[in-house]
Amino acid sequence: MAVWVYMLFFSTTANNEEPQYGDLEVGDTTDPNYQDTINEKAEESVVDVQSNQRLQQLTTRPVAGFIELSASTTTPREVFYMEVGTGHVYSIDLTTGAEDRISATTITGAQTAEFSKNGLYVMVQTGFSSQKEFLLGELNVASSTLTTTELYEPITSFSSTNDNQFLYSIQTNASTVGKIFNPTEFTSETLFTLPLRETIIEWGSDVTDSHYVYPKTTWQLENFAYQIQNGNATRMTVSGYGMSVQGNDHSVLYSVNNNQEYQSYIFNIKSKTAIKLPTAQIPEKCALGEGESPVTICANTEYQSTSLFPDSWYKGEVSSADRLWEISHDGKTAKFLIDTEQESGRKLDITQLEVTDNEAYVYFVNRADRTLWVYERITADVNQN
Amino acid sequence: MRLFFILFFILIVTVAHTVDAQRKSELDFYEMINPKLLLKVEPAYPSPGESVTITINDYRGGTYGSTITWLHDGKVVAEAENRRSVVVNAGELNNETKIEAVLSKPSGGKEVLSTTIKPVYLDIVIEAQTRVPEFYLGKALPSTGSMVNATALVNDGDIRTDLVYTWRLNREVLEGGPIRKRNQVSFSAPRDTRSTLIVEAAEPSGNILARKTMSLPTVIPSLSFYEVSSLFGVSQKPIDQELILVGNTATIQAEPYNLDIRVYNNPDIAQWKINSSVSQNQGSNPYQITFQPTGVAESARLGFHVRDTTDVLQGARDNIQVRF
Repeated sequence: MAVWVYMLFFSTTANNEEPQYGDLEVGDTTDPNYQDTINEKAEESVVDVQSNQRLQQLTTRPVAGFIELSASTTTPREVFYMEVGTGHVYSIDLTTGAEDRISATTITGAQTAEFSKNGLYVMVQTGFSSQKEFLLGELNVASSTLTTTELYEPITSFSSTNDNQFLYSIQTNASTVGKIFNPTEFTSETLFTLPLRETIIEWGSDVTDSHYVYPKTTWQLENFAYQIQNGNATRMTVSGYGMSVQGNDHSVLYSVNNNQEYQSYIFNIKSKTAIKLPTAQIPEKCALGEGESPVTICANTEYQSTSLFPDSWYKGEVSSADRLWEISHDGKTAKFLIDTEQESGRKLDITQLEVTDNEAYVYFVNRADRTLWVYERITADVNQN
Repeated sequence: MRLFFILFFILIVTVAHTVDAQRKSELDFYEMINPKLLLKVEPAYPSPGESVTITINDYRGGTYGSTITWLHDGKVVAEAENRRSVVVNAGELNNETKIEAVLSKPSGGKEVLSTTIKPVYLDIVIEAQTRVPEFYLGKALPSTGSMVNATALVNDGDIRTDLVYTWRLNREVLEGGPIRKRNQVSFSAPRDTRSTLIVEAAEPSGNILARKTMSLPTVIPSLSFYEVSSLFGVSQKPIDQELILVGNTATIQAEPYNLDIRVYNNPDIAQWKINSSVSQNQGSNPYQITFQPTGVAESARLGFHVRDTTDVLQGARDNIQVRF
């Protein structure tokens, strides 16, 4: 029999008076968890963006959040991303493939990040449970630093807007409150209040867009969703067991588990009608564009069983080797785009999909290692034409 | 004299009550042997857009030989001609829909039965006070004895907060009876794997607005194991049966799903085992273990057990194989 030597238990907190585990209360943010700037230059790496492959892995580091910055006359098309754990911010020039660390400020335990559209600000969640904190960072590219300020609210979710603000929610004793935060003026304003606590919010891209709020879901309980527009909450007609949704102003993609059969639908907001999709999709593995005839991209695997969906996928118990599909506007057909396993040689469990404004690129994160990938939906040649 | 008046008053009240009860009893008896024609609506309190079945409840056989015509907001439902039931859409939120059944009797007489449907939403939100990992997107479920918060949301265009709620869990009425303006109740999760939770929402005048019945699950807590990186934190992908150790050491976190949060915070048993040996090394976080292998063995079984000793169903035990 093996002889084992135990090492010390992993410890993340120096202060023994603080709860080490199990305290689900959102911790206060009086103990900043970030460190001062480390001004060392990271070794520059190059992402292979010259190949003809339409699927590319952009990072080997796990990504807390990312943003694509459109090309201008002075700047190339590039991606900013924050590394999980360190909070370092990197940029990738999508023309040359050069990667540069643009912030060496360490944010210990960075887990989730949202960049403003212009890349100047980033909202960050560090740690989990009682160790959870929220920061607002302002990028100073010239000095490779991130100036951080703590946010003293029990934030539960956040997202950036097209006009460089942040939408976020807080949880009170009996409700979820949605707010808009202006990082320049450091002011916030309440958008809506719903008498639900444990919610998932699918934020729109602008404060005036539709936002969708629903209780956390399970296949064992019936669920429902509210549409928020201009501060008004409307109970949607869509409902079902294990229901989760993705939506924009025009339509909502939702899936339900009825009698252990997982099915997906596109609900048209205007006509208030739902059409069953040809294949079952996990809404968290889909992205809806926002153009005039918005494109819907979904990642999907031929799952052995979907009877316990979405719970089994949430738990990470489902083996995935995703393919990308484009769902037609009316939801009646699905066009095959790419087999990511065949293309990359890796089994990808795709999530956090984002379609760029021009709908030419689809960014996503592989859930297993949280690396960032991009799929070129419309090739550059076609783009130029 | 005073005593006489009191006795007289008691006599009058008793006689009046007896006559009234007798009349009521006669009426009940009459209705029993000669019941009214009624329309039965199923479900009785539909949601907007829901399919509703309206059936003629004819226990006395009064529709015998009659032609039945169904009217939906005054318009004839042709496909339901001479049928005893009709299926209609409940319509939009808070909109009244009138359903009528016109019985044209062979003798020439007509009888009209009618009912109205006014759909509202009544949603029940279940929030179990049990533990799931923070990164888990799904809902925590009740496990035996854990506290459960149930919230009723009535929406008739606005979210109503001024109603009277009556909650029933299986056969027990919660909170001792109807409660006004309190749309939330807390209770201990029953041992049954499925319980029935019913909530009824009524206007303060007593008019029932909506009723909902749901099946409430009670699950057995489970465990998953996750690798912990000192730099990146807890992996969100569970270890699937087996962990192949790449470096010299590994930190593993056991994450209970649906364990009562009180037990999670203060477990009577929180024990790691390697093969059959109990780890004596208890650090600040009993759900984490960091170890390194020595010796010649190529694998070992790593197990974790968490339990409340007063409620043995509040616990979970599982293990993984570690290869190195």
